Formats: sequence, structure tokens, C-alpha cells
Amino acid sequence: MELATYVGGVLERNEHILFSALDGVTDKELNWQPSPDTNPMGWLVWHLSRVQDTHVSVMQGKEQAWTSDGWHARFGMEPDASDRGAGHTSEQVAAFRAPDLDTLLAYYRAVREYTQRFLDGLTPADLEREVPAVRGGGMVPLSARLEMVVVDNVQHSGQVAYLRGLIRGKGWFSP
Amino acid sequence: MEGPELIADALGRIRDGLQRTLEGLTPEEVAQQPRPDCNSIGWLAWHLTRVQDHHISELMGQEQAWVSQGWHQRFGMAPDPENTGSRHTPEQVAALKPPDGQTLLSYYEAVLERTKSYLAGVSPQDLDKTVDDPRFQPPPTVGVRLVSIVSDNTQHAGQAAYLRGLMQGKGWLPY
Repeated sequence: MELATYVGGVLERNEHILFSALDGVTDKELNWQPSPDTNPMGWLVWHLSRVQDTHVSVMQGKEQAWTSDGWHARFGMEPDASDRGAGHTSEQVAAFRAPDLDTLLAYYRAVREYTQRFLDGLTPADLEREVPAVRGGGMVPLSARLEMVVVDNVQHSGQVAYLRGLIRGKGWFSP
Repeated sequence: MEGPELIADALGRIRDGLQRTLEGLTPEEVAQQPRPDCNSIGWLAWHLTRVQDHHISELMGQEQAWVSQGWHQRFGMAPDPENTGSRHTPEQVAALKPPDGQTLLSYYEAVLERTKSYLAGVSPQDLDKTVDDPRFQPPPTVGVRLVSIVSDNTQHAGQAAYLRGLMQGKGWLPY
């Protein structure tokens, strides 16, 4: 199993839970925070999509879908490629208003499509190519940065699923 | 890097994440539920480890660490290999009171060690073999089963981290 197959496989498996958890969620639920310091579902979905968009664009050396395809405007936000939610203060999270669920999911799917095309075109040489590390400066192999996308996106998707249960109670999920 | 190594890496990162999430928590905090039908940090850490133990032992054709290494006793539970937490009632979730965070982490580390030794012997061809699981048609391959462990475990690890933030507020994690 090559890295591209692994990453695609984990993201796809993760999406089963993510999309189920978001099915029929209202605007109010998307923006609900269990405490002033915690992230709502809408912010989490926006953030994980921004993370995937950011990392894939860096690895490809291409502009993000957020800015190049005008997604920022559909979210009512600035075309700031550096804003993916990392380091957001509680005030910034509280101020974030998710667009409707369809737009939120459409951005994720658009990014995911770019990601899949990127994965499909990866060569062994690409995986060894050095790209900037996410934190702390320096360079890392592209494969390491790609794995970080998986770690971030799957953890946050789990959190979205947890929030659905917290809001609506047990029973929405059938293992 | 090939599939088995990627899986081992991902599951190793979960160990590090669990350590950070559990560090310094009292047994009461580990067992705390935000609502009676929501899972606690302790239940999540226990469940994700049970899933890994169950699935990897099945792939190895060996008894689970839960049973063979006596971990069930340290949790004060019966040596039931089928009890992984799936389909637990709220009463069962509430009744799961791990002795402390260290026991949870140690159980995960023990399971991870077995998982890594199993993965070290997995060839790319092995990943395409089918798993005998009558719940799924068509049956999953070993590769798909391993990817599902990574996805499940990573989602639950993310949930546990979210709960710590819900409990203690922003700032417990250095980034």
C-alpha cells in the first residue's frame, strides 16, 4: 500500500463518519459551542477543509481553492490564505459563522477532489521532495506533511461526530 | 514508506496524543461525561484500544492482550473478548471507571507493541488478503481493516482531546 493509497483510504473511511454526522444538521447546531472555549461543528469542518486545502496547495506549489476558486467569498471571509483556524482565539471561533451546510460541504468536497488528483499523480520521487514543515520552520519530506493532513482531518471529524451526539443524544450512529 | 509502516506510525502518534490528553487528569476527570449518554475520555481511550486489540488479534489469529495479558483484571472487568464498547448502553459507559489514566495508557502501549510486531511481518501481498468477517459483504481486505483501525482510533483520540478542552478550557495543549 503506497502512501497515496493509504491517505486516500483513510480520508474516504473518515468521510463515512463525517458526512453521517453532518446529515440534516441545522445552522444553529453548526454554530453551537458547548462552552465558550470549544469549537463548534461548523468551525471544525471549515478548519479541517482549510488544513487540507493549505497543505495540498503547499505540496503542489499551487494556489489554494479558498482563494483561487472564490470559496472565501462564499464564506463571507477575506481571501487570506494563511488563515486556516490554527491559533484562533476563543473570540475568533465564537465570531465564526458557518455558511449553510451545503456550502460547507461543497468546499470540503472541492478541496477533496483537488487532493485526490494530487494523490493520483504522486510519484515516489515526489514523496521524498522536501516541503516546509507545518510548525517550527525547517523542511520535511512531503510524505510527512501529507500524513499530517490525515491526522488533523480525522481527529476533527471525530470531534464533529462527538458533537452530534452531544447535541442530539445517543442513537444517531449505528456501528 | 509502505502501508504497514504508515499504519504503525499513525498508531504510534495516537499513543503520544493519548499521553498528552491523559496527563495530569484525576480518575474522576478521566471518567467525566458531559452528558449521561456521551462518552468520557476514559471510555474513549479504553474503546479505541479495545478495537485495535480485537482487530489485530483477529488478524494475528491470537488471543487478545485484554485476555492473555490480564488487562481486563486491571480494569475490573470480565475477560470478554467481544466487549469492545461498540453498542454500549449509557449505563455501560457510565459504569466504565478506569483506575487511572496511566492504566489506560499502559494498555494502549501493550496493544501497540503487539500491533507493531504484527505489522513488521506484513508484506504488501498480505494487505490484499481478505479478512473473514461475515458482517461485511464483500469481506474487507487486511489493508482495508488496518485503515479502518487508524480511522477509528484517530477519531476517538481527537474526541478525547476535545473533551479535555471542554473540561479544562483552552490552553491545555501547547499549540
